[in-house]
Amino acid sequence: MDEEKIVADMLEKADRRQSFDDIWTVSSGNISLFYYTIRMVPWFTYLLLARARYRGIGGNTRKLEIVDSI
Amino acid sequence: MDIRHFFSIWPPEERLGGSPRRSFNGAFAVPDVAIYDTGLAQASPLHRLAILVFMSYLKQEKSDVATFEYLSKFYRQALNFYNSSTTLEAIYAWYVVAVYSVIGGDSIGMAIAHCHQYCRVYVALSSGIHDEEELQYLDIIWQDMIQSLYFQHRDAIGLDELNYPNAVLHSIEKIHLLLQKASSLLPSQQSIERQRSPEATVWVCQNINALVVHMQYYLDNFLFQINHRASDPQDMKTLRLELRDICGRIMQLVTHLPGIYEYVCDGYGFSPSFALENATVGREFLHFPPVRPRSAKSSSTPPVERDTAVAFAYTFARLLRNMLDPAADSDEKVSVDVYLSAIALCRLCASLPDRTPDHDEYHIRVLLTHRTLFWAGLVLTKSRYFASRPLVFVADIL
Repeated sequence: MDEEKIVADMLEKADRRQSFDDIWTVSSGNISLFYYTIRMVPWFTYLLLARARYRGIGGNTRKLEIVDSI
Repeated sequence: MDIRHFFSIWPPEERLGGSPRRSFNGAFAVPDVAIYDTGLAQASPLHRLAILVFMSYLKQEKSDVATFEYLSKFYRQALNFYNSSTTLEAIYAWYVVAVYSVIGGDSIGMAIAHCHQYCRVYVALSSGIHDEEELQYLDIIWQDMIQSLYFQHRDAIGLDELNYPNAVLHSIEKIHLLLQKASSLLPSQQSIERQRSPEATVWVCQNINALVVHMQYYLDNFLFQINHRASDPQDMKTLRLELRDICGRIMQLVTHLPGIYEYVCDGYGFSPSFALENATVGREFLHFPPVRPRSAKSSSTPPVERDTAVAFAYTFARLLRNMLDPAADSDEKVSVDVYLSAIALCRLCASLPDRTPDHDEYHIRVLLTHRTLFWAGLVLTKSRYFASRPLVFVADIL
């Protein structure tokens, strides 16, 4: 099914809603809002703000450093 | 030999999360599954067995008899881990086995079960770790793990699976139990309310990420339940409350990043004087003034896409929290805020830096914009937009 048509269909249904709750169940054919939105990038995409750098310096000495690498 | 080979995966100087990786076939390029170095504490039999499970899979790129034999020995050894291993070794051992399960386990059920066990061990033992750096490192690899599990689980859900939703329900419920266990790793309301020093930015950033991962899982669960099964109204009420609570904590945490919070506030503000000062052709959303991006790091750091991603997370959390409010339709203050959030999402999209198609960030910019505008569009449809305009301006004047 054409994605543009799915989106247009869902937005049209959302436009006819009686309440905000009706938005959760908008669909296009057999494509539910659940199914359509899990195909998108999740909200945590690009959010990993802190990353770790691990430096092993031999033996059991551990040196961990939090770096901002993004 | 296999154990030495395992540690040679990472360059000796910088042991970031690295190969081996596997790409999933999703609707877009899903991040690879990364494995982080578990350090030189591999002396315990439990940790060694975990590595052998992983490496035996890696050799063939599939699980064979040896993999399952090691796994069986690992389970037996794990039963006694309190006696035979130190805290860290137990956590890292379960981590390695969880990564193996997500990359090459038999089923999504196995991946969830091993991640759950890793979570249990981590939750139970982390209170005994007093090294702050180690705890932060463990937190980062835990977050990476549940993000990888998210993609693995999501990609297994096709339209055919939704025709028989019980199987999907089963895995969603198992993940829900895992997340409930992991909720003790999230920052509490009290810890968020505490005043933070600028040095605590890393703590704030890590916890925003953790909360947004939880928000995504809970939102998916909510949408699945409401669309694909006749759920118990009481269960749905609980799920709404939990989701609203997570959204509220995200909103509060973002206030500890002054640059991002100002950026977001611009997205909600419509002051005409701001419009005149900052008028930039092409940065407006409809007739709204442009929003100036800011960095999470400092006022002198140029903002990048990541900063807008944090602003999106705040604004979407606020939109969602208000949409899920039982008074969303009856309380004008709540409904106006839903519209304001939808407008703010559009304005933030317009504030993203321009990128040409050959730029590394171009693709991610398109994906972020697509997702964000879709959600804003569900609220701010054509007729609703015009109907809500007077309300929005009244709210701004007040």
